Amino acid sequence: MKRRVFFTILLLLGLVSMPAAIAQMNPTKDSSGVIDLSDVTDAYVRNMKLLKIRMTGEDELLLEQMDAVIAQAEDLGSFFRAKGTASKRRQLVEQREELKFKKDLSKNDMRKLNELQQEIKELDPENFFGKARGLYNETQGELLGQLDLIQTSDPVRKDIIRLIRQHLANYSKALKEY
Amino acid sequence: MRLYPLILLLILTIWCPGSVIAQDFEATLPEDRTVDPNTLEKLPIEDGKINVKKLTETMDTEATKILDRIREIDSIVHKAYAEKAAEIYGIEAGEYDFLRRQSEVDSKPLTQFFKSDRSTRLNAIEEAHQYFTHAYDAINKNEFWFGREETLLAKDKALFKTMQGKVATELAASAEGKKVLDLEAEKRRLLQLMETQKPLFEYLIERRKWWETYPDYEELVDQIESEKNLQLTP
Repeated sequence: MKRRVFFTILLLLGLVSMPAAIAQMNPTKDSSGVIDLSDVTDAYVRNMKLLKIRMTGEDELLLEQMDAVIAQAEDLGSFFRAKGTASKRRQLVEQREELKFKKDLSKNDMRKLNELQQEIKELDPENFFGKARGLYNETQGELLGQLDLIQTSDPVRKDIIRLIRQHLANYSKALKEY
Repeated sequence: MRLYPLILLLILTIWCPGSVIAQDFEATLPEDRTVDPNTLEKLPIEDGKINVKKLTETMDTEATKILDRIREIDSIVHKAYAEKAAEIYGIEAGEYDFLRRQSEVDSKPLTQFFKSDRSTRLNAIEEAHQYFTHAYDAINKNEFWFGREETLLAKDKALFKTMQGKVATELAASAEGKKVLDLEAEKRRLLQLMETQKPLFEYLIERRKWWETYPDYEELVDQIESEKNLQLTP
């Protein structure tokens, strides 16, 4: 009887503490530090829109190309968000990259590498991501060419152009991780 | 019967994080619970109690006034410096201010975000996200030097330091120099005043919150009061 009372008290204690425990066991995305391509895309798109405003008055073609780059990045972000496969894909790519950089690949490693490649393909059988990334890179190249044509002595203008270039480069670097 | 140890383990697993939260709360209690006696003299005391609402309102109004005055001083002083710099160096309007702000604000060079080499390349996503987040704040604040190369930032800062020294010397020798120096002295005085008021303001806004919810609050206040009376009694 005493034992039953003891365990009932313990059970009640557990139930009382449960909300706090659940809160700790389900940390938010920010606190856990898990960031995927959709988060990076959101931040990139937001900044590029802001930079575009700062470029008002520049050549119309340049602004159109900025719009195109933003729209294509949004497509990439939406794809990952809709599929919910960003984390899985990145995890597989990370494993694949680790193997690629490994010295003296064994037969087992080769087999693992093929398996990973296969799993990555299965996540996106129609290769939407590959195609969208290709298209994005193409547009980005055109935008960079257009930025090269700008001649300005205004230091602020120069800094904004530099910031756009940095954004393009950093987003490309992030895309390569997938 | 055999399930009891398992149930116990399960309960403890669920219960432990709750205890950690409680520990965290206790850890936030500040150690210093004293207030400077000089500041106590200024407190609006009504019926033997501090009218905290009135006090914080007064302090808030005073702080707003001080900040407004500092902004006003800054606009006059910065303009005087920029004009003198344009006169001496022939630079365009805004360039001196740009260099000044770049030197004053904690500039974040590009290398801060991208330290990745092959060994850490798997963090590129986090690094890119961090860069975009900070860049957003910088663009919004017109801090367009954000993400420059470190050497370029260092060069600009050194250039500004040299320019500032020369401009200050020239300005002090000019007719309007006295006015600028007086304004700068007033700003230093106001900043000092704000610094003095800061601990009390923090106490009233932040620390008082936990103090009022402290379990033994009433008891402890009574104890302090009785100790004070004992000391006062000859």
